[in-house]
Amino acid sequence: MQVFSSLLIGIIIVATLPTQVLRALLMVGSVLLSPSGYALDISGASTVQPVAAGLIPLYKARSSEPVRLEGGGSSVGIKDALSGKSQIGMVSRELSDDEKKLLKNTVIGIDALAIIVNSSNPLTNLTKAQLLDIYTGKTVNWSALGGPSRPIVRVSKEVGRSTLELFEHYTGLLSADRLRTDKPSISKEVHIIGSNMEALTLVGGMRGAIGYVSVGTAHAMAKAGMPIKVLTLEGVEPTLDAIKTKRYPVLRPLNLVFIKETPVVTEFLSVALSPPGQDVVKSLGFLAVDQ
Amino acid sequence: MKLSLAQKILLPYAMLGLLMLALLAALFTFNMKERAGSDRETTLREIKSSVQQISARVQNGILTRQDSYAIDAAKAALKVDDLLTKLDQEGGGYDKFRKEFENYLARVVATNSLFLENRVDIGTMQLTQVRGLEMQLDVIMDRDIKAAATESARLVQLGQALQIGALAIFLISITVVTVLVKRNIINPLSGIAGALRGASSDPTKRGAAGGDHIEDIAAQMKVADAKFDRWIFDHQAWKSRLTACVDGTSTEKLDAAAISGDHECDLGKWLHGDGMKFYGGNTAFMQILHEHRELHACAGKVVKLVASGEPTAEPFSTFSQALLRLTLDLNKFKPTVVDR
Repeated sequence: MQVFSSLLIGIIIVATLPTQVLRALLMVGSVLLSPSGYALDISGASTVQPVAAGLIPLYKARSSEPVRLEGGGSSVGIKDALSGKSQIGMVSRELSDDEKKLLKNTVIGIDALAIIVNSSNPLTNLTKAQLLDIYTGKTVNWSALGGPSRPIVRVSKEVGRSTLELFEHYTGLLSADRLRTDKPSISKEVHIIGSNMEALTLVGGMRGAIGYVSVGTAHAMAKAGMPIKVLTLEGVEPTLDAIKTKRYPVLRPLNLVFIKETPVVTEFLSVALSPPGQDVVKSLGFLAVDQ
Repeated sequence: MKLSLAQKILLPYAMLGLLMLALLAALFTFNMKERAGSDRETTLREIKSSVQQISARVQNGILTRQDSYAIDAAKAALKVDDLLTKLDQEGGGYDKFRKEFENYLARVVATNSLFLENRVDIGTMQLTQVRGLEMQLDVIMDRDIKAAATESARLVQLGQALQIGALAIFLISITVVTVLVKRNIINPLSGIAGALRGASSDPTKRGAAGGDHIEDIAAQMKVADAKFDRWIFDHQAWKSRLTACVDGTSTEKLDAAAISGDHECDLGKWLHGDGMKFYGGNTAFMQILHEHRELHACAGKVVKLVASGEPTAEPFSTFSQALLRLTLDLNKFKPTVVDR
């Protein structure tokens, strides 16, 4: 009876509080309830990570609560969102049907998979067949493609990265680290890395290297001075227009996934879809959803 | 093989020039090798330093989360890539090292996401492996740097020895050329100069000229040329002098005994003096000497017969024939003295 009375009094107090105060209290509650001690935990795809990093200052302009941002890949984004470790998971691919049943998602931009080589490589274009021959290990030297006589150094991503999944989906090849199937696999003579930045560093650091990364990150880092260049694929350059008109063959959505739309999550999504938020998406070379 | 004067003069110097070129080429090639050895050591040190930079840049990138460190790491790796290509082009055989370096680079770069994405256990394990790889690369570099330094020092020592050797060869060659030039050019030229001095002997000028300077020799040759012409002219004049004597129209008083001697005229003095000294073994010279003696003997005989009122037809005819032969033989012999 005493418990019921206390609860009733509590409800009355909350109902009489102004909205802003209530909102602040909810956010404080979120911080206290969050396993990491942050008001908002975001983790997942390294492709979406720079976008989220660009959105955080906009979010903090509305709320000064602490935010934790971490990479790990799309599979980590899904896992953390499902386990409650993160309120928002970053996923840079289409969600599977099963994932759609368990999670809500908001698409904040569209990305393309860029094939990158070292900036000193004279090659400008690859066909899908050439890309396959390179990654299966059939073509081992750039001279076979009209380039200099230099061994090809393949850079691929670890399992759990949606960039790898997108690459696998496009080429029909599977990572050699996956369980064996009857599908052809990527050569074992490959350097496996995690994030886009790692792929960019390796390709930028070796004249014979080739890799695949998010086009937004590739363009941003090339502009910042990373010695890489983006190749055209089947003669199509991954420009915003080519992505928008779907002429570029390897595209993917940039998702933010969550279980519950808590006030902090709603606030962050609102920031992401706001004009300044979409400017962040565009500034990183991705296609904004309002375009 | 008979060499011309130009060949005798130019050949020793041409050979000396070729030897100089060969020595310079050898020194240049060796210097290039020496420099290549030193360059190789520098390249290896740069590779070692760049590998260390990569590791430091990646660690800073993890700690500060700044993209600029990734760019710096890529550029340092690119430098290693280029330096390894340079070593390969110089015949280095660094394919295996390149593979190990690429493996190291991929591993060290991959620690980035492991730490940033809180996969600390795997990251720590990978970092241990990276340190192991780094040590392997260090060991290879240290070994090669030491070998390159040793080779470089050896080349420096060899280079010094080669320089001393080249200097010695050069000095010996200079000496040989000097001896050859003296034997084949200077000595014969001095001989010619002496002979010319004799041929052009003029009591007022003898000994005044410097000796074997080219201009002196040329001057002497001119004088000798003129002397031969003078001697021929003087002896030709004897024919008209004797004719006047025979005809009784001569106004000069001729001494038969003095005329008979072949030592008194300028040609006679040369024939029995320097001419005999330099051309005594020459048949043509001896023939001239004989003809000159016969000419003076006949002339003396003609003067003596005129004085005693006897006929002079036969000795005069012999004189004329001797004069003709002497004139022809002097003209023939002149180039032997003048153009030698």
